[in-house]
Amino acid sequence: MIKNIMLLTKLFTINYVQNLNIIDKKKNKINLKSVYVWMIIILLMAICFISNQIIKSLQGIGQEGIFPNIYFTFIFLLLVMQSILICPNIFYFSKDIEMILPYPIKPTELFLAKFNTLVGILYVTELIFMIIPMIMYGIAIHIGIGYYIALISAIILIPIFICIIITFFNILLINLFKIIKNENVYQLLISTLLITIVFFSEYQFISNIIKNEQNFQNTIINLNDIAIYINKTTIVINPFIQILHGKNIISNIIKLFMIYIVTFTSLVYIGSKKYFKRLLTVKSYR
Amino acid sequence: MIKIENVSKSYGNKKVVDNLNLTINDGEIFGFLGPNGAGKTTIIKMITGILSIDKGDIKIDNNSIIKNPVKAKENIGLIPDSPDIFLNLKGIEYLNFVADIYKVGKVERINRIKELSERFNMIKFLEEKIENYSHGMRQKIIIIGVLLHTPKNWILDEPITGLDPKAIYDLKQTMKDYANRGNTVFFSTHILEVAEKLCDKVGIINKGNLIYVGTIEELKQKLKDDESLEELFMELIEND
Repeated sequence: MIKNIMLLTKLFTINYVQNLNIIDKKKNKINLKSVYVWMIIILLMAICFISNQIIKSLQGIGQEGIFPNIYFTFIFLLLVMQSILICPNIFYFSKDIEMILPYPIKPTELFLAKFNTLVGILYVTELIFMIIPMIMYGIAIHIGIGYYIALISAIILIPIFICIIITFFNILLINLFKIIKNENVYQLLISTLLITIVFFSEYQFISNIIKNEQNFQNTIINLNDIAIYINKTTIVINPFIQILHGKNIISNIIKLFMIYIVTFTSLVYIGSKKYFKRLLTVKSYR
Repeated sequence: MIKIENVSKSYGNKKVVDNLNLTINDGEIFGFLGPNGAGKTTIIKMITGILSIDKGDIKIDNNSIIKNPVKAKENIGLIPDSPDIFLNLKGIEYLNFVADIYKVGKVERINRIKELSERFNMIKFLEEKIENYSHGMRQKIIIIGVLLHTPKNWILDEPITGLDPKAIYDLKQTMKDYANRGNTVFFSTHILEVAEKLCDKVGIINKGNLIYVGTIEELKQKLKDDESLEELFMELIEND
């Protein structure tokens, strides 16, 4: 079973990456003609610059400790949005499913391979957005090796949690609403919902800044309050941040372990019962 | 053996297959004929588990594709209507993937890949990506992949399209040899000549209904003896 899952994961990931045209297939090197490659390079430079400025400003007011709070929330929301957008395509509408269906593969194997593909894609986003700012933060405030170990664990585990939750809701949505028979309907619904959320969040955020008369310290405190609220609601972020700060390490590891076991087991159960049957129905409408 | 029992399928409100019953026995080459949109590819997709079945069941060597899909699929090899699949893999990577999925042993896979690649003139191209192959080469690599694990039931959806004359000849020979070894060969085609020369039995489908099953000779006797298969086919479709 594990061998088949790995084989399929490799196949789906190769398909996804090569369709982005990041690698020059003939020379087997990074394709510098690809728009994606340049987007990543520009994003990396911008992230380095902005993170450096924020960390310095926070150090200036003695509030550097809130950087992980705010940045983890940002990354968490970014990964959630990305996974909401790509999850249905990966699980239900991707073209590679049809070429795999005639093979003697168990529904659970296909489901877990698709899950791994989704996690892999989120890792790439995380590599671009998370690693450099968090290392810069570690260097700026001179934290010990424990911080980096906790950071690596967070980098590995946070996308898995996001994928569990989003995949779970994705399966429920597609099973509940029979209207979602093709990717266009789903993309339209999800995009409208996400744009509405982003629009109202930005409106709230800008209103707060205007109210605080563009005072940097107050804005940061407001942002931190929002981050603390979001982090509390998302169960796993706070334990990771506390571990990063070296607080309640053992109890937080146990808490995280329990959360992951329960949610992952529930997802595999729901996936094995509901995923495959609905997948074949969705395929009938393509 | 492939057994289709009371199978129906609809896309939305449109019924594309209506209560179809059909048995294809071991050792038989069965040609599935019908105009575009008759339901041929839908039936092939239901046999191979790509599409769900609304009503009825399909059994592959007595394993239900609904109740026991993994076991049923172990005995199937499918050549799809479009060979544009696994394009991001090299030919050899695709063949190893198939061999891994069907658990073909290392020695056996090396021998089979060599033998089949030589037969279909593909040995020089195995290290190239499938996306760089021509249509016919893509078709050939899929045929090699399917025959790698010697499935009991070989299903081909429009297999002749895009192949050069030599490859068509090789494929027809391979199909004959395959059926002679007691396996089932089920294929859909538009080319009536191929069906006439190759098939032990044909099935003609129109608007989701099977309008004829039997040998070409029986079909000729049923209609007018001196007509070509093309004329018989047109007569059946127009009368339906």
